[in-house]
Amino acid sequence: MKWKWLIFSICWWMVFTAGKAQTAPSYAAIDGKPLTTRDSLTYYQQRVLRSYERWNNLIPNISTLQLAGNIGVFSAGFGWDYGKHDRWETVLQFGLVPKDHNERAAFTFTARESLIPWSVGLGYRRWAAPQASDTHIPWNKRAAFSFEPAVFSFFANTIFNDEFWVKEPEKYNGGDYYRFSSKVRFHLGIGSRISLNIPEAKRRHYDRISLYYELSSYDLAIISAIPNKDITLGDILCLGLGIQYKFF
Amino acid sequence: MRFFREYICGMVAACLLLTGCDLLKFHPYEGRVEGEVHLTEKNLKKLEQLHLGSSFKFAFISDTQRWYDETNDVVSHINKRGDIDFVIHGGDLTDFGVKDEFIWMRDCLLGFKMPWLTVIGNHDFLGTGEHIYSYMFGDYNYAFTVGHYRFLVMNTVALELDYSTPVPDFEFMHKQAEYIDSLNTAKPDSIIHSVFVMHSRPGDEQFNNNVLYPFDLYLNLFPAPFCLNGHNHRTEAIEPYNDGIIFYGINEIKDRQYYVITVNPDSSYEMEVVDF
Repeated sequence: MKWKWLIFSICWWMVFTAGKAQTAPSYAAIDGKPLTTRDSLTYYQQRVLRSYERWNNLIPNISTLQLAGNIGVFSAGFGWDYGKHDRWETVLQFGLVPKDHNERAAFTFTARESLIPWSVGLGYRRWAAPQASDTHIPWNKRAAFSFEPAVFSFFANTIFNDEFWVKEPEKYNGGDYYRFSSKVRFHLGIGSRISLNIPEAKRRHYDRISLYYELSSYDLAIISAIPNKDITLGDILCLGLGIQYKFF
Repeated sequence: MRFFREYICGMVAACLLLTGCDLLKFHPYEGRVEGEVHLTEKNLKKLEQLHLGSSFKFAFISDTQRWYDETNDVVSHINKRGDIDFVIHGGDLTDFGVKDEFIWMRDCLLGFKMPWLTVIGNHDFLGTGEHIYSYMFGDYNYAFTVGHYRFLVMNTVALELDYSTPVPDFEFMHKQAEYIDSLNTAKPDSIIHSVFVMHSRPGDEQFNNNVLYPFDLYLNLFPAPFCLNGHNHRTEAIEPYNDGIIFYGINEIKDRQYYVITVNPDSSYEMEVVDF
């Protein structure tokens, strides 16, 4: 069991160290000269700079911590936002399902894709003057708070436990008996999110801290509810609460 | 002011506890079970308190997985009749072994006014379903006596356990046979019929067919046995061993059928298929 806690700690470390500004880092230097501006760079230096920037895009800029939500009692994750106005997010989460009356506890892994169509800025920052350097940041992120009324997400969750299978074992009529995968669950969720945008002068660890909730349901619950009027929406819904840290 | 703050905090905490807990689900296959558990034990106690004589009537339903409306219908139908003393469920309470399904199905079956008992089906083993079943209901194999009838509820879905656990459990059968013998020696005709309740019957793909014939040998240790089974989603009475031991299979609940077994004062029984 100890090695599982080690993995969990490493995931945590990844979450906390995730996120760097998406420009050339200070160690990107040629002949001892740091690549901080594009002025007076040779073609070669610009090419190296572009290469650094491209790889820097792979550095996650989101970390999350979630309670419940059908992916574990707690789950920690990291991810990326992208697209126009950062409307799309991909987050990978690692969760823990406690033992309770099962045989053992289990870890889960979730791949989540979210669409955030709208973001509304709320309130001016009275407690810190806007920075001149903030002008490139869109209005909703310059406001003290931003509110995202709808976050649509689709996520797949897999559980690490040998009692489950992706493809049915051969013993079941050569793999054609139950015709579903017990190991992978597909979920659909909708929620909203309120964020505190931290002005540049006040930033210590994060650019934005958000609280979110999410109501979701999964494939097997949905197909159980469809033919039965006695299974209501309230029966199949699941609530998840979370906190998300973000670096613009 | 302080009182007010504490009041607000208390209210928020209470709201979270009352409404949040049900909604804050950890995983479809999590091991938390809310509500009533250990139901086999509780229902056996209730059945004992009924003090049924040598004549009684019970219903047999099976394969209710994912048919909650029909299950609620059968519950109200059996309750309305008023002549059923107890109900036996032949397994497959769930389709995928998900915790939610166990909770939903249990809540349907809790509608029965009379005691009800279950046997585990192959679908209940999927994922971590068998652990939820064990906690919610109890042992896979158990036995009880009503009148001059001995009921033996047995797990027969060997395929799900990879033949690593003895299914069917011959030790259980052996001990039960000895127990019935001792009862009948002490007082002849204490047990006149033995009723085996199982999910899959001999010959099914779920049954351990390596012991197809040994199982028959063991069945013959019991006084006048007959069997009730589900799994095949067909209502039929067959005699797989051609030795007079009849296996009564019942349809899935989707096709709205159940058995009513009437036990007469002379301990003979009558089977009736009821459509609802």
